[in-house]
Amino acid sequence: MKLLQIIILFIFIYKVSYCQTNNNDTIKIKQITISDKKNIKETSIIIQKIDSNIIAEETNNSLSELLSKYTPVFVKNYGKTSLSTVSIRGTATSHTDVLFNGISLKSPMLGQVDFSLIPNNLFNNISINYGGSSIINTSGALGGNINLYNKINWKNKLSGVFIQDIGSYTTINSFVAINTGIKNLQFSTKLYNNYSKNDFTFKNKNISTIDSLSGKYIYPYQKNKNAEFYQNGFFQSVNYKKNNITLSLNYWHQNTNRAIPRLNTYEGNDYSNINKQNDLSNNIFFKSTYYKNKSKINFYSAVINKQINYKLKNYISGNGYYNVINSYGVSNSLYNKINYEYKFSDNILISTNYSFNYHKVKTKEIIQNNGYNKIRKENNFYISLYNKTNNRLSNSIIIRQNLVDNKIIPIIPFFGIDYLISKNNDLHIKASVSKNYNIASLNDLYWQPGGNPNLKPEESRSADISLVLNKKTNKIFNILFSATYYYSYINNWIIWLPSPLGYWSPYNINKVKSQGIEINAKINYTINKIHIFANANYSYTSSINKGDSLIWKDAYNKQLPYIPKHSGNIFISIKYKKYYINYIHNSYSERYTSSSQEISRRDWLYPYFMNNLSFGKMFNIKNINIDLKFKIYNLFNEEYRTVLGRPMPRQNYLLQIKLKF
Amino acid sequence: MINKLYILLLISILFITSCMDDDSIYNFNRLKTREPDYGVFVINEGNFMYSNSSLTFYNPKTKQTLNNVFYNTNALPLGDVAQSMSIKDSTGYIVINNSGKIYIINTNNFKYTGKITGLSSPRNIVFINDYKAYVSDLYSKSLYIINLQTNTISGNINIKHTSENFIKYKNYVFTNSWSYDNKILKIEVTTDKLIDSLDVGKQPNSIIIDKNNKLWVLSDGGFAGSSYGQENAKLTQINPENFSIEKTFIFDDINISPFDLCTNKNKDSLFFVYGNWSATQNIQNSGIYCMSIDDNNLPANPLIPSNGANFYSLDINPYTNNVYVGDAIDFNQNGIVYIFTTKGEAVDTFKTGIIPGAFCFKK
Repeated sequence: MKLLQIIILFIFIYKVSYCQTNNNDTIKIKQITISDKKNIKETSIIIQKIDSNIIAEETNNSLSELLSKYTPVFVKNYGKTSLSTVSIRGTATSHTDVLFNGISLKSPMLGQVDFSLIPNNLFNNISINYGGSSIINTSGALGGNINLYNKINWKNKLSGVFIQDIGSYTTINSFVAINTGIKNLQFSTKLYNNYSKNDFTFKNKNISTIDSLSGKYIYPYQKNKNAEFYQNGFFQSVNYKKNNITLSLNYWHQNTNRAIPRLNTYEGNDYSNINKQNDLSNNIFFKSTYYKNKSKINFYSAVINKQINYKLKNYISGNGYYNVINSYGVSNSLYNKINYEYKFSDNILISTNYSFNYHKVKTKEIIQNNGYNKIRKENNFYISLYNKTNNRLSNSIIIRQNLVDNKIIPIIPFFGIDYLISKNNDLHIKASVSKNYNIASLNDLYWQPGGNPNLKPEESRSADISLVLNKKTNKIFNILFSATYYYSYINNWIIWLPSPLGYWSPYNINKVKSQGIEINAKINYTINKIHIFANANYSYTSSINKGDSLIWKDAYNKQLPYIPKHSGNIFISIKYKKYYINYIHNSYSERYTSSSQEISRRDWLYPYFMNNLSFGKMFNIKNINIDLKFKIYNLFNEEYRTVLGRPMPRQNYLLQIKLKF
Repeated sequence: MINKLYILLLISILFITSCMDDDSIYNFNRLKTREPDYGVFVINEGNFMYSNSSLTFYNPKTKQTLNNVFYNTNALPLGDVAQSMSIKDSTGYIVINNSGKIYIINTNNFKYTGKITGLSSPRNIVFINDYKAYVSDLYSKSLYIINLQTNTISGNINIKHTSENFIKYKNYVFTNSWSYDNKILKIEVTTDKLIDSLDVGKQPNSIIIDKNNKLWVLSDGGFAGSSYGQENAKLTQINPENFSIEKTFIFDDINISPFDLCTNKNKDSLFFVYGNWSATQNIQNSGIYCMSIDDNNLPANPLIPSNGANFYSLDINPYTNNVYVGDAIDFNQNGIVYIFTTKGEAVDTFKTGIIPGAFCFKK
């Protein structure tokens, strides 16, 4: 009883104090969590592992929602289920890669990943490598990379999960997974279907009619029209293990149809300006691992097919509907990677790999008949050495050499050290320096009209230093704390600019100096049958335009648009017997929509404070474990926007039932 | 017991107020002003899909600028990609392309008095008489007929092509079909019928009429790699009476894509602009060009070189004869307008909103 009162009080105090310190430069957040066993490869790497409590809370949601609520990754959200772009450490979406079992999901055509299309419940393991630490996994992820894995439970015989959501605005999500297996062979089948009409009502403050009598403005209440989201998918995994060989084959199919709502300034023909996008993907992933004494060989192979169709429809009375834009993009990619690892001793590990990737991309805009048809071949070499010099000091050296269409991309180096300051507290200091290159996407190079085949790769130099504490006092209290300072300088940053001739072109015209602080804490605490888990992040991001001041004029030395300086989040989960309650707070400071930080009320994206709450009960009926949960989104019923011209839903609900056997 | 606590918790939440200040976007002291009968409006496009287009008012006598006048007066954003503005008496019609509407304002105090809604992708408006106007459309192959008394769409004229600018001459309206097209269309205003069409260079982007009542059309020639094909840009003189081409000037470099053809106060000179627009082009001598309507050659050198500026829009004040040039800078910050005499001497410079794309001159 007291505890709950305290929680309510805490939420209240926290909220009030947060609101009062809107523009304050210091945001204090108390932090917390549990840690995993250290892998020598991860010693000097800055990696954040997403706790299983969080993955469970965000089941049936997309990766963009998970990243935005529980990590320092900033997500620019255009509305529920619609496009979202992410930014790690003040970089662009194209600077964040997503790897599934080691294979990049970044579209060679777009040069980025659509995070709102990746469902969380396909993966049981999610982690983030920040900045230069991504070089261990991939190249070109100047901001960082997200790793998605599926860990296999080899002891499984028969198990399954069924999750059903029913929520506001006709949101219906279903997920079912069946896992069967014997000692050496495991099968897993997952099926999902997500739908949301997303037609919330909002007061439109961006348009009004004038009352003819009083002259007063009447702001209409409107529905968020043309915003449906429909996604279905199928995931099949077969895993085989015998002696020192593991084989894994995954097939993933997904089809997503989205309508992109109009801006709330639109007052045109109600049947015009209808935007629809279809994203279809078919992926096959194969991985084999062979162990022998001190060595390990991994072979990866993947075939990824992605298709995008974007349509803009208008309507003319008398003529009916007609497509104004009907654009197709198809990419077929083949990934092959062979990795060899040799452990000289417990203290020295060498890992090397070669990968060959082949991409074939075809785009076509049917109405004007513009498009391109291009092939890209990548030959990538990688070598790394992990060395533990003594009990306290270890270091890693990584070198990558990429050849893209037989052109040499400069060497990508990484050097990191890790020093154990205190054994009792498992307190480490980590530091690293690196250089990275991100090649332009095929659309950047060849898009018709406007593509620029002369684009150079974007170049980043970065350094970071981090303090990591992992204190396990006893079974009842655990804390994982980390604080990082990073610095990076990105040259030849690619930006698309419009022209008076009606099309856009990309240029290597920006230079960006990005630096900041990231603080993460996780706590596990158990007292009197009450288990508390908390996760909190705070980050300070300064991402400054250092381009040519003659070109950039007032934008020189200003924060990049849409990057908040301060951002933070808190997740608290309390379990008591069969009951639990989760509280999620997420906030960030104001963002600018112009490159020169013009302050106008019209363009103001005020500080964002979002609160969500969920609670539920877990119980068993026979062998079935049931979890019944109720979620309240936008707890305080905020009326708000996070980008211009797009309203967001007010308080809304979701009921979820999860059956597990 | 736990259940009761949940209820308690939920109730407590109801007493907590929200803290994001969304009402601040319309709760503020609005601009109340009375501007003179002369002046210049700058129509700032803003960024596509940002809804941040805006209206700037410049007083050439006091050289004072008011930015964001529509929003500051009406507490409403102008919309997404404001395209053009035309004035009829003291009423301004602002065409907002990606918001499918036209805002009607009082040009002296900027107060919004009405709107024409339900359009698709409107570009420009031309007033035929006190009761009727036409609106062009980027995608639609018909013109809208507007009833100016009720501010509603009263019909369509099927012109089989898209439309852009308008020139009114006698009983006709001429419009250029710019996007992936090469047509000048002649519409009779009494019958609202397309009566003739004429082929000019690819992508005619602007059209004017000179003192001898000849039409001039500037075609940019399309772009490299376009399925529609690219050709050298052209400047064409047309006789509107018999609707035939009388003169054609061809630009010698295929990469040159000139636009924004306009004429001076006496309507005896032509002005246009070109720059380094596509990433693959390397245009020397970009800037603002000027020629007499009687010249036999295209001008070789710019009257006003761009010197690295992003000249995005050009127009000439028909009342003062000054040249107005919009610079979009990086397309994501407030732009600049440079004012010159028709001889190229600098007069003044002022800041605008994001992407100054068009001008509208008030007496």
